[in-house]
Amino acid sequence: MAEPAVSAGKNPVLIRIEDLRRDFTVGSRTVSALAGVSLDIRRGQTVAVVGESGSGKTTLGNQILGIDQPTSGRILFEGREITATRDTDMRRRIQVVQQSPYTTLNPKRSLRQILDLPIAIHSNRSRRERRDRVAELLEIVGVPADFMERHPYMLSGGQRQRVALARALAPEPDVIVLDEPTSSLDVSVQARILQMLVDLQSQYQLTYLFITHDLSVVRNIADEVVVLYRGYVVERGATTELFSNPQHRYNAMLLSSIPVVSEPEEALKPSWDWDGDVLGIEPSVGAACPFLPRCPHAVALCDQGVPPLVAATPTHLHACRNPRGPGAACRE
Amino acid sequence: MTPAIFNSRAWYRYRSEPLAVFGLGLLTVIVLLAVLAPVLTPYPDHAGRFVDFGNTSQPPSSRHWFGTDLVGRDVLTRVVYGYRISLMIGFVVLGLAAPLGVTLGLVAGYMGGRIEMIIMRVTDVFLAIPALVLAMAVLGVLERTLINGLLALAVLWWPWYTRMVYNQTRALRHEEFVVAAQVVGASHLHILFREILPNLLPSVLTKFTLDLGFVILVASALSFLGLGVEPPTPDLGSMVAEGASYQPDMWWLPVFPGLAILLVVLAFNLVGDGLRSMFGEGR
Amino acid sequence: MSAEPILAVEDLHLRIRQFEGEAHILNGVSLRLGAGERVALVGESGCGKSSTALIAMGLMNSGNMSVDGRVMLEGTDLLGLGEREWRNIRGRQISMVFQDPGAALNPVFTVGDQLATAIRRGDPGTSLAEAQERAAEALRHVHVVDSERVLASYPFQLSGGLNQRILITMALVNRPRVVVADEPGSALDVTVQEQTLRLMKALTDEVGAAVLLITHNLGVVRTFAQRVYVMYSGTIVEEAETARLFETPRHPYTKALLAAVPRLTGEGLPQPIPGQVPDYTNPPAGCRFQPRCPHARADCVDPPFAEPEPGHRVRCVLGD
Repeated sequence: MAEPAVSAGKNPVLIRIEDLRRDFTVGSRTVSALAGVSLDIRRGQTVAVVGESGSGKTTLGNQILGIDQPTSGRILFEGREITATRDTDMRRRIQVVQQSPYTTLNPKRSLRQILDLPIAIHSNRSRRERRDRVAELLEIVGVPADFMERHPYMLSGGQRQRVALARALAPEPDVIVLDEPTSSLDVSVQARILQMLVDLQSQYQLTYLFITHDLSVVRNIADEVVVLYRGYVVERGATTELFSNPQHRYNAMLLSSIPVVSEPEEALKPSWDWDGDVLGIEPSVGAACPFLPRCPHAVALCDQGVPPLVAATPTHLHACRNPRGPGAACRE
Repeated sequence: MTPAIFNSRAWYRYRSEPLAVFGLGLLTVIVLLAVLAPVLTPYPDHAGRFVDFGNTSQPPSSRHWFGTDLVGRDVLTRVVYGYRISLMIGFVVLGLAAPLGVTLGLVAGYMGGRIEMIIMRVTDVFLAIPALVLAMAVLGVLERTLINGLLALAVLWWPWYTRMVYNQTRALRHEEFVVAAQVVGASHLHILFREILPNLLPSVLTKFTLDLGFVILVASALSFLGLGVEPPTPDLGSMVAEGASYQPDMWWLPVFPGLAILLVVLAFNLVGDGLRSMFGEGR
Repeated sequence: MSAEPILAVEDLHLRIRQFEGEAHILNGVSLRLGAGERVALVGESGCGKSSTALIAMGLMNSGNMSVDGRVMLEGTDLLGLGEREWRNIRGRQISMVFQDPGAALNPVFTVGDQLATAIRRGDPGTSLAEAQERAAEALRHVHVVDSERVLASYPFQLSGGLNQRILITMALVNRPRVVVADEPGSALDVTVQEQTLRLMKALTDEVGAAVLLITHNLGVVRTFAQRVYVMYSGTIVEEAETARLFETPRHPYTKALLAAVPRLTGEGLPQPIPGQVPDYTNPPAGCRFQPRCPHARADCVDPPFAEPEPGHRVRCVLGD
């Protein structure tokens, strides 16, 4: 697939995803969770993958983490292809922080047992050294080291997420897949986790793939954004451009849905015709733009196959046949 | 000084069910009776080969509270000793069946694919055959010894553990903490026995407790049909069976062992229900 | 907040006996809804906002709880009512929209059956055919295309957004005076949440129902509610008209909560609130926010309810 390159950022590419596809068979039908996704993740950057449930964003994370096998396509890590069968060192380099503070930690294991596992697998430390490392990790994420023998139920939601973060840091990874790491938390707790993520990133030169549906968080943490819709990348590029000048109609709809708390933010949201006429009928797979059934701006061309990604600027791609256009910056 | 368990959240939940507390009390009494049988029973030597033809088939009296049997043995003594055998049968049978069933269920639920298919089909076959028929068939082929009886019951029981553990393992297989362990590179063995199994133990333990009652009941039924423990070992099921032939004149022969079976099954059930509600709520 | 309130919660206390001791979950909650008014009750998880809603719906009672105070619906105290009396009120005078439409609809009945049942509960004289006709009409009214097919479907055959739409229709079909909505649409995607809130606004306006919106999302409050109560740890700490609250928040907790919201303007990371929510079995005396408050001082043990401007009340020693 020839596709314009996005040259956001100068750091070298750490992970390159090429035309990744993952099909699931549901009964007699085939559903594509990922319908040919390509993107680059640069070292030390934060790439946000945004989409609603069913967009394929978690499936994408699972491919990178090596716990699921793509139907076709490739993932390159530092230029070498990696698959779901990977050696211990490759496993070490990509870690995860998940969504739910209630299920991410095994309720039957103590914090020490939970954090000891990655250390024991990925280092030759003695039992005593591992224990010291567990204490150190807890300190890094701001959980008192003497909580070590406690079980998860004795911790608050925020503390549990911090332990999950410590677990991800334990094997000293290069990349952390953050799969909705704060969406189950209250805003006051979320703020602290976000702060911690940013601090840790600069301290340990971490690369983040930040999977989320929350655009306000993305705006403040990501260098680059990828908008997924039903397994397709519909828009991607530098964060500021995607927010200030959304091109794909779905991205505009997403932005205009964000509940905001101030007038200046309201002014940044694009307008959306909530009562506009939409088709409502699902097209057959691959026959049309995936967003066509919900789009009040559809034109005749929209059911002529899936639109390819085109460049609006060198750092901004979109796959819309009737985009908002270069001049359509948001209301000031 | 109260032990720590009585000051825990778990005990707090268990305690909120009066019937479960009653069951636990009853069970404690039964276990104490069984363990201390040689000390507590009036005629310990009546538990074995003993005859006293001068004292046969006596109705309950102050000397023999539950009366005496056809060869003059004290029924109370034999009922208490019967509990020893019953409890032993329960623990041995489930001690064999549960670990086997749990392991197979874990492997099938987690590994999937061919392994899952093979294990689960075999399990289904065993589940499809009525329990008593299966046990009788096993005992029909094998020699009728206590050991073989226990084996027959174990063969009967493991598939239920496999089914239950399999379903729960499948539900946990994609749980976030399991995925996290996979991402970190943990072995299958670690994930099965350190991550998943501890989460299933409460329900396994609950089922184990409930099943103890049923195993004792089925063992009694087998004895009743003449397929269980051999005389002169005091077995509650055999005692009911023997006594049944002399009805209604010698009512004490089947009634007291029957009541004893009822009580132990009831106790295990009440405790099992209590455990279920103790583990059920919260996490 | 003119005239007589249609729903008034007065000095509500909820205590739950637990292993750890008695938890004082609600500590004197009072709030009022005017006829047709949209009011939000906002706070973080565990602050007691959902308990307040469930008590107002008569859905919270269990052996280990005690509830004190009053919940007045047009002059009747709902707290003393039995289950039989509640059945005449719930779904007719006061109804509820839940967070997760998938869990709130019954999977074994068609949407049409459930809507028709709701209609006949409100108006027992309606024949089944009439009720089904009215159900179809109600769905057409909320722009559900192909309403016949939808009525014949089971909830799991429909999208989350459509189910939410049906749930709202069902809650309003008997023209209740009050709707209690607990985080409507927040289990769904932002685009669906936005549509859900728009529909709720339109339908409640049309029926003249008052809405008590329970939410943790300040953005949702701002777009939906006319008036807001901010709740922290079982107490109402601030009450104001929505625009006023966002312009000049007065309680330190309200300010901290607003500062914790990530902004679309991208002005950097939001500010966390230090410390933790207090333990309900042993809460601090007086203002429960005081241990986390940058302005805490000695007289926080008994903060007054100040009213610096008409309709803007704040429970803080700083008052103004």
